[in-house]
Amino acid sequence: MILPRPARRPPDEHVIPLINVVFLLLIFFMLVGRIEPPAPVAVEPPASARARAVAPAGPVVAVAADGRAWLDGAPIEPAALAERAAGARGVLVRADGRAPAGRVIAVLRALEAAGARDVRLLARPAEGAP
Amino acid sequence: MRLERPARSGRLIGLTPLVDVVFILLVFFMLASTLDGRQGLAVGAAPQGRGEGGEGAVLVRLHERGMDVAGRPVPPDGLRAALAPRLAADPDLPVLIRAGEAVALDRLVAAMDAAAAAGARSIAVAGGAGR
Repeated sequence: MILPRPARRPPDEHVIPLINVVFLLLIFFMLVGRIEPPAPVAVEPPASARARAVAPAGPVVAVAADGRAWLDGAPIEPAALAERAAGARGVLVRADGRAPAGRVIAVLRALEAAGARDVRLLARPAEGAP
Repeated sequence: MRLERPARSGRLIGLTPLVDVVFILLVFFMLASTLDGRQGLAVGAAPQGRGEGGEGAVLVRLHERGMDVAGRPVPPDGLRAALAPRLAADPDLPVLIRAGEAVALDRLVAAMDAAAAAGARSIAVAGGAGR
């Protein structure tokens, strides 16, 4: 059975504003959004009145509430950080607020020994903070 | 003067596939990206100058229960009040916070906040609150 092909309609001019808007949304999400690898562990960062916005730049060290540490998603011992993170810049430490402070300090010390610069400790703004 | 409009050339590719691709990209970026800004503390190297944990710095030790400032016990919310007079006398006084192994990071960050609120300009942290 041969069906008659529907007559080709000229491209709708009113689609173009729609495409403009969709393009704008696309560019907005590309510029504003941030695509990050899945976190190895859920972390509830400590609250601080001094928390400031940080720009994501370098490697991410995660420290779980039980003290285990990850570098960019791979488990790591704080002592091994010294060579793995040598010379890194813009390191973000995602540490849980319940993590033992000694472990977090060991991580910070290792980063410092590795010559990492611009180390930030992830925090959430405290209630009542500006 | 009237110019002839150029005849519209037939489209090589329809608009619809383009719209499809752009929509798919849009959905991808909307779902894959996170918009919330991250906040953090600058935790730099130990302050240079008067030395880490050495002479001159006021030592705050966090124990599993309680804390002390230069050896004197301080109530949990009294750190700021305990540091303020010292820092008022010497604003450049470094504050060294030593946290015991089992102290939660929350308490360390709270102590750093209290020291900063008391006016400390250089705050260093160190592990081990040895007696």
